Amino acid sequence: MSKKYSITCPNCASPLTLLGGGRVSITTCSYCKSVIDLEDNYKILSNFKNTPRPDTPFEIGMIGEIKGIEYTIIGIVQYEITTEFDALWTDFLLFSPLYGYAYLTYEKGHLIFSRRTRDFPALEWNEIKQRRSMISNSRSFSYHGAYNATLQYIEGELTWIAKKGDKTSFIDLIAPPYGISVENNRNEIEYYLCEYMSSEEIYSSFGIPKDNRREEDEFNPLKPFHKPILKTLSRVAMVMLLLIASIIIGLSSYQTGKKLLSTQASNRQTINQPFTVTSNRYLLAIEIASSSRGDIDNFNIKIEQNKKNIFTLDKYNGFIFNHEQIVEKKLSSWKNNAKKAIAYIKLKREGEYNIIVTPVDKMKNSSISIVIKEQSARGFYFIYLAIITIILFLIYYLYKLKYRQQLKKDSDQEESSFELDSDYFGYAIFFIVILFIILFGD
Amino acid sequence: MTGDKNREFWLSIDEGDFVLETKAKISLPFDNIDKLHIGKKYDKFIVTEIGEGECVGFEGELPEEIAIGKKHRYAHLSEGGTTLMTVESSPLGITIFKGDWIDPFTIKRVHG
Repeated sequence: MSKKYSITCPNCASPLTLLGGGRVSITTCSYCKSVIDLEDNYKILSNFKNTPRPDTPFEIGMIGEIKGIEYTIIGIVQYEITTEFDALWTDFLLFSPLYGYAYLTYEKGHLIFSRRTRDFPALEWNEIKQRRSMISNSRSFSYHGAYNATLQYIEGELTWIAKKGDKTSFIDLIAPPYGISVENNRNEIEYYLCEYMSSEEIYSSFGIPKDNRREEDEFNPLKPFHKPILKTLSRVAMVMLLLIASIIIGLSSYQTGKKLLSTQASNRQTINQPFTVTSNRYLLAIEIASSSRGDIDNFNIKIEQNKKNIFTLDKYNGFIFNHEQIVEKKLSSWKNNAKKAIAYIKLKREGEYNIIVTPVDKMKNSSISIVIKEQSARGFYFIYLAIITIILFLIYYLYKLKYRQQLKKDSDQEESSFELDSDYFGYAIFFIVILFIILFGD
Repeated sequence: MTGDKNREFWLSIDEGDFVLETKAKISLPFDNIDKLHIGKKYDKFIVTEIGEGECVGFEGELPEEIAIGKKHRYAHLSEGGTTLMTVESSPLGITIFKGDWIDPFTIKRVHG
């Protein structure tokens, strides 16, 4: 806790308590709002009686802990950006007898803690604006914006002589949750190292009642993008995608099937060819292909075992039959005018089978080739899983992209100077490779 | 403060930050601090502050004659990083001090 000193207001004779240590230059009377010069015989400099107080939950004299240091709020300053309507923020001057002065900035429910930093590059004002980044305190900060602001309100103690209408130029650089605020008040250029704070923690620390706490409103460039659940989901999805891609590669490499039959059929005659299934592991694949579009539409395909239908397929439907010759499953057929179709069926037993290919219109010149493979596996179902996984993977990055667009909109940095995030580039390559494997690997 | 070989150092405190400076012989690209502009670069030095200091008290041994109320103009310049160069102007001429800002919590007791 800081040592307190008392003075009497030279205007209204009210007793005033000074909390802010030796660097304090002015104080305002909490009763008559006169600004008193503490360095020049308590001269009254101005009066803020008719100026509305900023609407914030913090008061002079409140004590709270920020980053492990106990601070007392000793002063309040409100600024307004000259070129924007209602662009106001309030700085609370904090004092710690051991750590000196710091600021807590309140802007539309967001809270930012800042301390003066002496570590900055030797750059002129325009050079800072022209540069896309700047190193300070071992961190690289990106230029975000520059603006001018005028002082609207003061209360309590300040370490400089302030008056209404004082103009200050600002340059903001960001590396969320950190930032650098460069301030030029015509007498001095000051650099402040800022950090976005959890408002709930600060409110609790300063004992602000729950009813007085304000919700964060609008976008703040120092608020870091933070979606831990979506980020974890995205990481899990990434691993799952790798797994799915590996499975698909595995399936396409090792489970392409063993060829049982390769034959041709034409519109001239029906063919009936036997084939022997030695293993009913995985699926039986019937690959149908034609050289001209629509040729396969002219054929009905049937698989029989002991003269009993197992499977039929034509341009409209496919049917799988049980041993009582009852339709067990209805399938959709190939697309109209297709050149290629693959049918997968799960055979219940091994043994001798026949494929019967019958032309529908014997006058229509057409031919197809048929290949039958056993022990085929299809990775098709993995594509559904991959799509869901890709969506999970992308949600986090879509939110991140939205955040970056908001940041870009909020900044006055030129569009061309925004670089593609290396994360995005890496993930885009990863995503394209995985997509390629999933779509073409099977 | 005196350091090795009786070298003169000044430890200053500004808003809770410490800076340790010593006299330096540097050829400056200007000869009058009143002609400097805040935020402008002179050679490799950027001007961060211009002001006037007044002696309001002193104690102990000092390397120069000093009096309460004595004023001098000063300018703070930086080469970047944590460097600081203080240029003081008095009727006797310009004095240059150069050093670095230091984190007060890294200062350790050496003797005693």
